[in-house]
Amino acid sequence: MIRLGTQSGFCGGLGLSEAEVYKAMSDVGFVSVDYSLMAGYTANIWKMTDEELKNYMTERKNVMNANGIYAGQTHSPMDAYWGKHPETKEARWKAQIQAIKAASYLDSPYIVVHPLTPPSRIHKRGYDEAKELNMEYYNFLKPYLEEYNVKAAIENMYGYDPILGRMCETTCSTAKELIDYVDTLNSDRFVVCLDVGHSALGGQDPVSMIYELGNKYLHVTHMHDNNYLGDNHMMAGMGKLDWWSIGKALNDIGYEDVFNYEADCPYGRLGNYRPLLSLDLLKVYAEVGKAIVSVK
Amino acid sequence: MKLVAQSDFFIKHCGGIESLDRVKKIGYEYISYTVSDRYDEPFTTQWGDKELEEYFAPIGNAIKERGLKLFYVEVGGDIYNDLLTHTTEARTKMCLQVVKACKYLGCDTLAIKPAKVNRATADAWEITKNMTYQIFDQVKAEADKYGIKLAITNNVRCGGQYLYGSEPEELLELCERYDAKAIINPSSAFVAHERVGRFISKVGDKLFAFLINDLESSNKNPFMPMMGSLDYATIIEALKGADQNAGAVMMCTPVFNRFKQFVDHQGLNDSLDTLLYKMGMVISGNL
Repeated sequence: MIRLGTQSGFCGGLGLSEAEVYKAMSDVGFVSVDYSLMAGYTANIWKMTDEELKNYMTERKNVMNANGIYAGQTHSPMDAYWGKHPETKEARWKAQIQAIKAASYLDSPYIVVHPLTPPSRIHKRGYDEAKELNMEYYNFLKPYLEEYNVKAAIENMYGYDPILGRMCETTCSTAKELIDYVDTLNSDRFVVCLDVGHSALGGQDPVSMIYELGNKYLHVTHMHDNNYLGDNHMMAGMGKLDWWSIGKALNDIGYEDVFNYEADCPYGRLGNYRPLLSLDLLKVYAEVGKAIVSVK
Repeated sequence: MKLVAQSDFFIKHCGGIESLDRVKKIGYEYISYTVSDRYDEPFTTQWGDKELEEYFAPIGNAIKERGLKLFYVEVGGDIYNDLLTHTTEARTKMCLQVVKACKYLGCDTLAIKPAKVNRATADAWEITKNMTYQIFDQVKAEADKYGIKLAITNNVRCGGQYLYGSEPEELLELCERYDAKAIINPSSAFVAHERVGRFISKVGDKLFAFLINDLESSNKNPFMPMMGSLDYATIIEALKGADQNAGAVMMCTPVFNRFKQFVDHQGLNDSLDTLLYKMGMVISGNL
């Protein structure tokens, strides 16, 4: 059975306690939270000792669990690629280790770890270079994933072609490349996270990707809508993605993990009216999610 | 302002006139009704007076029996397309039929829109101005016979060309010419590069209704209010200065249309009903 999950961005400006946030999620039918381990979304865990991190995350987990929610997935920092500053590589990769530990202490089975996307990897170009870079990266993380019993979900990405002035294929945009990465890593520590919005922007059909990945590879999702032009992170149904077919595809492949929203942007659009409307919008999110995952 | 529910999606896709019980249960007191050849049979061309009365009068009664009030009757988009392509004689009959439908529904206000064109030609503004006058002259003549008032909605923009009635000044000119009130569709105003708050202020006490919807920047189809490109904080402030007897019309149809495949999902219907109603209460200044 597919369960529902979401980020917790709906709660901004509501004045809710952490427990009340999770209770609000649980009340409308969510069972999982996508806990962000990116800078700015959680406490400054990067400077914590292992003991401090364990205590802090265990406390978070206990609050979630007491209110009917578990951490179905987490998201590691997205800035692992150093760009023009290779001297920062070590610090960036170390941050990923801290995030893996945090995920473990939350009892999260998965941590989404973006692949590195060097600028040379656009369209069909730069495949081998990007793969070599990413194999080094993910193999560096593998022992930590094993030690802390967490699986890294490799997410499909989209790139940008500055000449065409539009989004395009990049590292892991296609199901084929994602499968190649997981197979090459040859470890049960790696699965795939399908971001359906990224699929659309990377020139792929998200429904086809679900079928290509199957439940062997696909274990984590980022569900949000867009207009095939920008990474809008809208609620399902507000853009151009075919949600009925996405729901059907998930059921057809026997997907058993979380239908996880990564669509907090609309809450921000409520502006000063968030306190009046956010919880009703959260309820709509949950019901839209239930409708989608019920398509057989 | 009076919060009004656009009723077509409920009536046409969710169980006919009985669905008005749902509208009432949500909390709405006022509704709008869209007459359409697509859903109400080809009433504009093929029905006689008796058929019109037998079809529309029971709908009007069903609305009243539920304690709902019909804020206005709107002429559907399909009829507009036909009005633009028919001969003067055929057009006259269509106008008469639309006005009669409004009468049998028991409503005293008919909402109409200026003429559109599908292609952005250089003379689109002139063409739509002339066509709007032709159609509105005929509608007005028929409406006067039955004591029905007109309310006119601002026009959209077609490609790179302005169409007549998209500027607030033009809308007001039409209102003056046809002794009508104004309806503001903020999405159309946005597409016509008008700032919606300014539009509302310019229309002032001529405002009859504001259509609550939004639009996603790259897509001109309206969708859930407060989720798109329109600046609703400014709009809400501007509406506070408008005539508070005007209607704020929650355009339920474009929202529910996006979830048409899930129309039987009760939980989704209930949650959307609640959210849209509360959004409407906020935007109309009642919450």
